Amino acid sequence: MTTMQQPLTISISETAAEHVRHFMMVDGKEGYTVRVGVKGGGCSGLTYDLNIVPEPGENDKIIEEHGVRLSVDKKSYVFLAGTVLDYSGGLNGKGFVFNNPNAKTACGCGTSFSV
Amino acid sequence: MRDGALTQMNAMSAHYGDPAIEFAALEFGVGVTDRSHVGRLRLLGSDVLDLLDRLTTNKLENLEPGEGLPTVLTTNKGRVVDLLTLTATDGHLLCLTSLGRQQVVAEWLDFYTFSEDATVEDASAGTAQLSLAGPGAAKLLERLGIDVSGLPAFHSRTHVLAKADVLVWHMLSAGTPTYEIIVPVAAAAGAWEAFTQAGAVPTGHEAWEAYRVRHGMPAYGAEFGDDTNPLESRLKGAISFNKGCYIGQEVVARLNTYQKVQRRLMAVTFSDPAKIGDALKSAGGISAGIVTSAVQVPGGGTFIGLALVRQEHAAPGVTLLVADRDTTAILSEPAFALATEPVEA
Repeated sequence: MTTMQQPLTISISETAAEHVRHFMMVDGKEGYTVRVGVKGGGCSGLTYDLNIVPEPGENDKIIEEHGVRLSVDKKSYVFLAGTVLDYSGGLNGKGFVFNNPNAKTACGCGTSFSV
Repeated sequence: MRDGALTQMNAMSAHYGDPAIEFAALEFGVGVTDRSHVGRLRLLGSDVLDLLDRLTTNKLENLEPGEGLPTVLTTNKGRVVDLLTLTATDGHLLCLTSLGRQQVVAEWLDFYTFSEDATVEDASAGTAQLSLAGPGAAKLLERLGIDVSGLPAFHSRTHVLAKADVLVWHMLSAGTPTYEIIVPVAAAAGAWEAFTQAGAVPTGHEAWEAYRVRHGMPAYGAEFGDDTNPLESRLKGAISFNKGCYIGQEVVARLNTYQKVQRRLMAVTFSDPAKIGDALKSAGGISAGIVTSAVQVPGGGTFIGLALVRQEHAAPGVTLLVADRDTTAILSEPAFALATEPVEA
């Protein structure tokens, strides 16, 4: 029997990439980078951080997918490896969602996690 | 200076001859204690306050120079990593930790620092900490040209003493004022001499411990730690209940809102000697709590202590028994002001 190995990278879904490209266009930020990361805080210990920046940070890991450039700092990468950045739309949607296989617990409102 | 005070940073003298006189000075006059072995961290960077706001219980949006406040570093299960006392000074935050906890706190902050501009430096070795305590403390400082009138609790001011810049930090300790004096190591002996010549009684560890217990000041590893939440340890004054998320906030908020706190820190007067770890039981033999600190007031005084007591027994005037003998334990409210008064910047 074989098991599927979770790829040790960060990826972005096609839907999320579409929204990113749309936001970049509206804000006149085409060609910018989506910098994802982790911050200390939230009830569970770690929260996600998502910014559109002109350039990736020095020493950031760069991932290009669906026409979007993602960058992540090395320390955050440890906590985000395997994460898929998705987008939950509609009236009840949550917007950008981090599907993180490393998250063992999440707080009640779902914005923070622990590993 | 006797007993090598200020020369051995981690070996505070047990006493300077007579702990009873030293305790009396803290209670009725003014005593100076070398507490340089307590941890001190220097926190630098434009994001450090925001980082602490996300990691600790109190609201830390802004601290103007001289302002300060207590806050609790909690785990995501709402347990206490340490009680921190902060003040803004000289372009950085100075942070007091519990005895021997500075390394753990520094590592904790470092773990949660990702892209923030935040740096932690251990200032414990480069500075000394003299605690000036007792009802005469403010007057003594005044005699040395240091005006502390109107200095709110947890706030600090920089003054010149013994030709050095020293930080005078007003600490809230129920009943009797305490000023922590943070001095560069090179100036510590001069500051000690200035205080003792002005009338402060050199006070050692024995008298200080009795003073701490007498005033109900909780300590790490005894009244709070990784097996307690900040509410049962009576650190409510260091918690903001409207600041939003921080690590452990859900647990702490739930305990408070639904009154789920199982134990409360209480002051205890024993009929006979008691020791840390003694179990307490009710008159009916029901398990009621555990002794966390126990001392005899120096000079053959009363046996006093602190205990974590189950909520149903934790009321002033309640008499419990030390479980394996006939020693009685009469409960009272711990005087430490953090127990009752919320303090926010």
